[in-house]
Amino acid sequence: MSIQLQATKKQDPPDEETPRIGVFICHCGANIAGFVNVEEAAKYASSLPDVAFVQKNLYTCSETGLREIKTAIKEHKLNRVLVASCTPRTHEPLFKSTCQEAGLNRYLFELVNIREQCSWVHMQDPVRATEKAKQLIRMGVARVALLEPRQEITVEVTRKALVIGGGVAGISAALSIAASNIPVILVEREKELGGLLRDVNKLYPTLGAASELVDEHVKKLQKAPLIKVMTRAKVLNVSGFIGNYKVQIDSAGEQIEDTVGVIVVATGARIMIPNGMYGYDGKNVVMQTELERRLKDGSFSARSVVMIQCVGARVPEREYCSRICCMTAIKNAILIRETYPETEIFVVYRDIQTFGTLYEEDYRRARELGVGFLRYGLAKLPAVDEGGVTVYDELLGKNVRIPYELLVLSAPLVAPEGVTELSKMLKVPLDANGFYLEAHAKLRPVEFATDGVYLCGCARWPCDIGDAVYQGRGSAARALIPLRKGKVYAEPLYAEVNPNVCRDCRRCVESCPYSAITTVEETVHGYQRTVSKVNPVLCKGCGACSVLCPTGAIGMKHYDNTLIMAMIGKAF
Amino acid sequence: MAACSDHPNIECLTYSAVREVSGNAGDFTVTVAKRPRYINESLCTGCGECTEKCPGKVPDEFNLGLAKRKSIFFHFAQAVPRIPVIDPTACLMLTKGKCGVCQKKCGAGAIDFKQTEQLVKARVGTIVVATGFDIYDASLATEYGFGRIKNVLSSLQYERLISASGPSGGHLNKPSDGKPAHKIAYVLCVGSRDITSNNYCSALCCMYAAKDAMLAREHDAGSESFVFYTDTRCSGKGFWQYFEKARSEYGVNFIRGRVSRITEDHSGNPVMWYEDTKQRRAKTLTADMVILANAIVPAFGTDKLAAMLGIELDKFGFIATNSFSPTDTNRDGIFVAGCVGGPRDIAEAVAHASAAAARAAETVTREAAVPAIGNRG
Amino acid sequence: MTTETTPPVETTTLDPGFKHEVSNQPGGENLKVCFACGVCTAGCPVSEIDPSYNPRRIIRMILLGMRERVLSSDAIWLCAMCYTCYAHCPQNVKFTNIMSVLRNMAEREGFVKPEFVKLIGNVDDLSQRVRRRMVLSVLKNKESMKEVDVKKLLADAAKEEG
Repeated sequence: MSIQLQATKKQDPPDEETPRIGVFICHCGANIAGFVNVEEAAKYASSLPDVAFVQKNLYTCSETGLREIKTAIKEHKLNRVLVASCTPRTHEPLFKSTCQEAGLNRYLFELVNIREQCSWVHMQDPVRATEKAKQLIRMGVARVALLEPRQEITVEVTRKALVIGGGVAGISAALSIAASNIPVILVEREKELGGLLRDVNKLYPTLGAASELVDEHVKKLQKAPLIKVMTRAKVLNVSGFIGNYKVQIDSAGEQIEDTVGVIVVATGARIMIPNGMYGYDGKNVVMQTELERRLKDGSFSARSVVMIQCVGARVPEREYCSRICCMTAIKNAILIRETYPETEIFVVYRDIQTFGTLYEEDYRRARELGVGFLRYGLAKLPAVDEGGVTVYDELLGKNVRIPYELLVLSAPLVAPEGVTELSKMLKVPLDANGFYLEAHAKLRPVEFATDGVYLCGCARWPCDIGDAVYQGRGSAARALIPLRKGKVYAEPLYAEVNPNVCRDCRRCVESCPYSAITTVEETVHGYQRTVSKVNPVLCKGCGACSVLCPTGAIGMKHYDNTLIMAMIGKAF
Repeated sequence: MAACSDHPNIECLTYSAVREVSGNAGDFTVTVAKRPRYINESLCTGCGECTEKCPGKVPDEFNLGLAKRKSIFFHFAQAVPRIPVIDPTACLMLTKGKCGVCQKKCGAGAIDFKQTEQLVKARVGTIVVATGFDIYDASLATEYGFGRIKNVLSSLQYERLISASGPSGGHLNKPSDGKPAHKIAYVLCVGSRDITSNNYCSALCCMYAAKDAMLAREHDAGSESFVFYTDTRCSGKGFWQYFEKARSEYGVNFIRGRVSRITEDHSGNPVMWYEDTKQRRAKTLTADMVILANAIVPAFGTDKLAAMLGIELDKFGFIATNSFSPTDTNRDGIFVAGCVGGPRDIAEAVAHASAAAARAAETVTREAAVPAIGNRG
Repeated sequence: MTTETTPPVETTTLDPGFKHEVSNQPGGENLKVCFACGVCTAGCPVSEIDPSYNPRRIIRMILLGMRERVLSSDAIWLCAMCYTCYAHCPQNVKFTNIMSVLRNMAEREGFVKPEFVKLIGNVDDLSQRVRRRMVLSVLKNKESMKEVDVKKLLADAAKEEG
């Protein structure tokens, strides 16, 4: 793996000058000055080593305050700046930019929080609040004196994407990326595109034909010259990182290699085959997909149908609801009652999942059409015999035997074959059920923690068509950020391995949530050794590796032990 | 919020409303009215000193009336931008022409009582509507006594109560007497799955009720939680497992039965009348506090905004979208994100918003003349 | 009606056409849309004094086709026709109207004799009259409000009305 970084080398000459630190202490109106004696703190600051200039501001963050910082940097030849004010969350970026505008490297800035962490919490005790503020400033000065200038890391991004999976989610992602004039390779394992939709007859809630929707998507693909579709294809190998993934793909026996900037995982799911459950035989006891086939080709003929929901779902072995099965059952029940009004249908369910604005009325429509619903619980599962299902209806409190000519089982979507292999190849995690695990369950649902890899559709979690489309496009939007910029920028706050001390235990590799650490062969003091290496672009500087490293070989740039020890040294 | 306001390509116009929209995909002209904050935004440092001495006392919207705020105030502690606003209906200076304490207190000289509404025109290539939702006014469901029985609260009021930074410091105290509530009931489907109000499922309530009940148990291990439901809607990622955790690890009682009505007993405790449909018995349960899971309903003004944009509403009043292209409205170049198109949880709203961004990017890429963002005409 | 687990209901006793039959009669139109939330039972004044009376469960039995059991049950005559369930139902099932349908069917199909229906009519009529008298008697003592012997009032009222 070669890392081509544009500006990792320190461009600035080593800073050998004596530190000349400017300290700016904010009153924040009365927020700080009301409880901390700013005058006293300022006098104290000027007594500290290397401090060349001290100024009090009514509001350091105001235009006046910022101007004062810039002027002081120039007039007093300051080469380090410390601001004592509020939380870094509010104004640190602003102060850093101000330093930069005055010609100072933005990493030669430090902020100490004397508001949230001092004046606001010690309002009752102004004397000790002032002492604490002085302590915090003293520690900050010790740290800022040792800071080194740093440069942001920039990586070129190959403007091409790989989308794995040609179902509706993958197609949607590919179309959205290509719409920004970026080439896409779309890899599909089967010989046809369309994924799970190919086994569907009609779609809920519109009752339009699934084949039409697939055709519509495929037609759009054909009109998108930037998308290269590869069917009967498989990803063989992936190496590299965001911006520069080397991928190896086998397409119907022909192997190709290419470089892409990002990868979208849209590998979908498959429906669990309920072998050995409820007398499943594929003839009189079938899956919903088989029912759909019979409805499509007109071979459906049963006069009584029973559907059992949650077959193998929401059970200890598979602790999840598969999201689409209730609406699939309701859709098929409506179709049957409308086309074959003599056929009686009962749906045996646990909780009906008709969430949102689109589906609740379909549930009502099914009931209006006379579809019966019986509620069972995990404690008493339905029992199937030749021609009948005996259900303990919780809401009636009785066992009821419902005759059937056709028994339809609603089995859940499960992870398809090959997910483990692909997840290892991409270095992205799976959850307990074999679905891909996103970076954040709420705030980053369609991307992985690893930069440059995205996910959508049933690969993430069972979902319906509308979900798959917006997730596909959503993952495309996330992927388009580096693709459209053509570059990725990373803060130079990353872990670094000292190869002399690394003993290749690989705890760091396992601990890294961003897959930023790999092992490499390196010559250390003339010996060929395997040591850990951090990819500075992927590393987020979280420090998990550094904590686990038994030999102290990994340190965090900008937060290394020297800096922290210097602060601790001045703490008491 | 901070990431959005700090982004170099994003210009945030807060406290503003769209007044007029003209043009088509690729070149819309939008007139936005910036309401007067009575604060000079470029001078204000957000220190908040002005709010300290203000003599005003008005019900706090953010805390849903559970606390008071000043006439000059921040909508909530983390509000972006951190600039206060003066409530012109409550401020003594603006209503009676006297006071001006905030002006005297402001070290930055940012208070400006003469500020007026500003009209801003922007030319944009595409529009994303993300105006969110309101919650159903539970007092319309008269059988539940909201607004009449003190210890019947809405789910959002509960969120404020259980929040450590909320008006009660995170303690679940009964509004009637300020004493801690130990027995708390959560009533689902208030104003939803009901053809007399909204015959749709509000999609989020089952999950947040489970969360709320777990939070109450974490807050007070001796408390009891009861959730009244009809069907648990648990199809999102990890949701069913979460329910099982609430049931088995947290001991939350889930009762299948829709509450028929809530009355008040002699000591001011709410009494729920319901059928435990799994035991097939009509029962009552007396709780210290009842939390109503009000439905997600279209935000006030969604209809007007839609009319201005020339886009259609669905039969419930949310913005209509295509089932298989759920970010698209009936107009080219105008997209929706989040609950304005119907109830969605956070993860769904985030992915949905990214999808809307992808569609918007497609539009601006396709249209040759892409006006610069924020280019004011 | 009891709630204990009983052996499977025989297929032959289930009549899938029953629900269609009920819903095809005026008043029964909305029968099938019930989603069994229990609001009807929760608000029912009869269920309150007789827990075995359960409107939601009666709907369930109709939907399952338990024709004989429903039409021959005492439950359909217990309804006070107060319309509370009707008012509260979130799906507008109109259970009170369904009760009327069931009573008519029971009579038509000979589950009860016409005289029985007439008797029930008398009971309804009498109980309304008795209630009116009792309320008026209580109102007479509105000021003093003490020592109102409801049972005695009831006996007197019933005698007079009878």
